Amino acid sequence: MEYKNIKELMKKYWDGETNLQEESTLKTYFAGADVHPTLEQYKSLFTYYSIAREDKSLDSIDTAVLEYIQGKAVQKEAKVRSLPRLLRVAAAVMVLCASMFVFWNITSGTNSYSNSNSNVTIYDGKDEDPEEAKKAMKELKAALALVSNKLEDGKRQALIGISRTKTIPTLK
Amino acid sequence: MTLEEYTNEFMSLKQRLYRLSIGIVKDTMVAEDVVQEVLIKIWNKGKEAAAIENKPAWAMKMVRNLSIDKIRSKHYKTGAIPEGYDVVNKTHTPETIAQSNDTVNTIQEIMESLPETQRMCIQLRDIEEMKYQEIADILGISIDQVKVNIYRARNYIKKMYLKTDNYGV
Repeated sequence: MEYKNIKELMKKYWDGETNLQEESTLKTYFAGADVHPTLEQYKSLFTYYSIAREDKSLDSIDTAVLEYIQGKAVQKEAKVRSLPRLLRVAAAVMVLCASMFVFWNITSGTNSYSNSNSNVTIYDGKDEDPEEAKKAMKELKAALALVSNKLEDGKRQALIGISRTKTIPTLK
Repeated sequence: MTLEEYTNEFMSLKQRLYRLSIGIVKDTMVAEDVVQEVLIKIWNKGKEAAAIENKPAWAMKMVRNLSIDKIRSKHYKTGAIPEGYDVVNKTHTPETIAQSNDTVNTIQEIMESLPETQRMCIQLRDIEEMKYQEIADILGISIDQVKVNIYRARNYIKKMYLKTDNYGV
């Protein structure tokens, strides 16, 4: 950069009319070796602005902020993990299936009684022998026991799942 | 806001935030606290922080406000007065000026003797290289006021600097 141009820029600078690019040109000029003798006196002033921009070690801030964020993340993660949502949904679906099964059995039973006088041959239970009824009852009990068993199983699985819940370290 | 975004957009500003704060609180420990507090505040703002258009100016404004709060708090004042008193004394003793033949120190002392707004304007412009609009946003003043403050500060620095320089020679 020519001395004349720099001198002009300097005048603009003192008048507060330089833009960022022009100010950067001045800084570069004063950082160089060929500073004109008449401008030499300003060299350290412009060098100061560059020195003042140098980085300081602020690692303690990094550590503190990251530790804080990490602590927050662990809390958040733990909260989500304490809800074995899938297991709950599975249990609910099983209960629903079981109740539908029972409901369907009962209604189909009543239907058969209400239709007992029609011509359609359907099962009405009137001429059923007691042995058969007992057998059916046994089967029903077994089916219900099976459902109950499955529910217990699900519950146990859920408890195991909960006990396995751990905080998961995510950031690092 | 992901951790990566946060690190790129805000953590990377910490040097500038620190320099801004130290100019106000004049205490390295307090300035570090201010920057840390502001960075945590920003993280807690999450989406709101991610949506800010000019993130550096926004963060710097927060740092400036918190720094001013710190020096205004009663507790800090009692501790800070002797320190500031010391600095003023040093500037006015010819002996100390002669002893510390360090130009950087001299410029720093001139900067510190500037009125608050002028000093902030010079720091944000000549050191941090920010636009007039950004400086106006951070300091809560108009662009014209920023320009006037920079003009006055530069001329004050020039005058004082040439004076000490001549004495030195």
